[in-house]
Amino acid sequence: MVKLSHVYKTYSPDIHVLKNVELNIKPGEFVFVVGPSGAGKTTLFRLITGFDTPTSGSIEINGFAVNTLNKTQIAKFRQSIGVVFQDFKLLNDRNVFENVSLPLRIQGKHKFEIIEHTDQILKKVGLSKKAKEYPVYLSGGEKQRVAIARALVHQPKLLIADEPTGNLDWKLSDEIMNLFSEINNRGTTVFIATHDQNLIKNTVKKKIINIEAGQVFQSGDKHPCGQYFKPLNEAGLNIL
Amino acid sequence: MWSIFQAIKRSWLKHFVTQISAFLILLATYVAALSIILATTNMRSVFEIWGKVSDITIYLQQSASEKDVEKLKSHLASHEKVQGFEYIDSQKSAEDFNQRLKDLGSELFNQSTIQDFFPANIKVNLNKPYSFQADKLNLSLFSNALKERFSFVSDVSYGQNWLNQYSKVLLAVEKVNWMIVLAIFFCSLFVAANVIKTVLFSRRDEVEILEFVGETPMGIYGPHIVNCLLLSLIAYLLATVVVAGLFHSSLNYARSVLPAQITGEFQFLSPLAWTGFLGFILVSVYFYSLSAVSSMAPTFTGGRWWKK
Repeated sequence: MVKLSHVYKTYSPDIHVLKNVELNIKPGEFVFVVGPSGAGKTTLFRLITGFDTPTSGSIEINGFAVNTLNKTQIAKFRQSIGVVFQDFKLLNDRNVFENVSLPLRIQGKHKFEIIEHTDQILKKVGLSKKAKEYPVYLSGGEKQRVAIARALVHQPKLLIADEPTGNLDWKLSDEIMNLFSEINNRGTTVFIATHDQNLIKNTVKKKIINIEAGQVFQSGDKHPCGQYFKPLNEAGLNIL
Repeated sequence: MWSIFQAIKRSWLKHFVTQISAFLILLATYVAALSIILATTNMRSVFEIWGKVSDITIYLQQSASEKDVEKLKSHLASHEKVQGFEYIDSQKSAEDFNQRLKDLGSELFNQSTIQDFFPANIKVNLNKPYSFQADKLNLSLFSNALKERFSFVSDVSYGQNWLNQYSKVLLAVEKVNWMIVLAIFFCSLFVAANVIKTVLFSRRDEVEILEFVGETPMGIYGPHIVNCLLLSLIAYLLATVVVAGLFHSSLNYARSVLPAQITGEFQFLSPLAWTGFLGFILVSVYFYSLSAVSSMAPTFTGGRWWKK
């Protein structure tokens, strides 16, 4: 599903943001990428979504060799994934229905198919009654649910989220995480980058990847300080 | 196709003032450019009329004998370009000159004193009017052949000095006109490109979102290029109507003050020239828009979200 091999990202000879990143995410997994600010989460996210290219190494997602695609192929690749952002990234001049149905319109789906799929996903995220509302009239949690609905409406196999609860309070964060769990239970691979350790503590059966100073560690890996990462809460890692 | 028009409609609703300003500037530039092109082509037509040569004067040396003159007359009589001619001796030339002075109310010169200054000449009527521009070589060859064949011919005149000067002035005016048209034309391209840049810049967040959800570069930028092409096309069509209206009202006025021979030559742009200019505009606007889009595209690779 997601495979990164020997990925390096360097912005200048002195700034090495990612160093020899090896990552293998299997279909159906729920993966957290955690780490402090400046650790390289966002850079990893940019590489995975095709908004940046690695200095060296290869990235393969959903059968796309992401680091070798041209602009049009990148667009096709992005149509095969769903992306959720901390700041929602909704179009304020379009209502909820129009925002959610955007990926289907871009893919040139038939009008009836657009209506059917959009209605279904809005029902799943509990926003059927808000379909005609504009984002400016929605709460933070509702906006994030619209963003999640938009990311899922075209039924991608992989959902990528960057700090999806960063702008939400703990109650709304729980609500959104439950939604992600539901989505994962239906077979979608979920990949979330976050610095919020509360999200990780409350999760079970999820893979946690720690990123520190541009290096990625998984359970069993040896940290530069000499200690080994060990499972936390049955599935996660002990964050050093 | 429908999505392109939806995007254009959205762009107009959001940036109505920018779009309408761009349209008015394009309209003004096309009106100016078409007017100058029209004036230049018609100026050339008028010169074609004024530059028709139907009379030639052959000036003879004082030493030319009667026998020489007869030889020249018989040559002219058999020449295919000559319809008729009239021999005027020095005395008649001087009389004609005095007559002209008399008509102007001026004091007359003594006939016998000025007679020596007026050479004998032959006024030749050509069989058809020759264009100074198009038949320059023919007229020159005809004139040189006479001078070479008959040594007593001092000069052959058909107003070539004046026509040459006039032709040079006309050429200079034409050059300036075309330079103005080109400058105006590039202004219109500049306007079209900047409309795209302005609209794209103000919608950079939207463009960024569209990129995230998998819109292709053509899907994002294509409507802006189509919008510029439509703006240019409509502005050009409207400019044609405006210039045609101005042309016909000017023609009506010109007919009341200028000879029919001149106004008869006035004409609007030929369909070929009109279409050619339109094609040139659309192709140039397309490539200029494309370059504007390319110059703006890197702006979006580092949107706000990525810079946090």
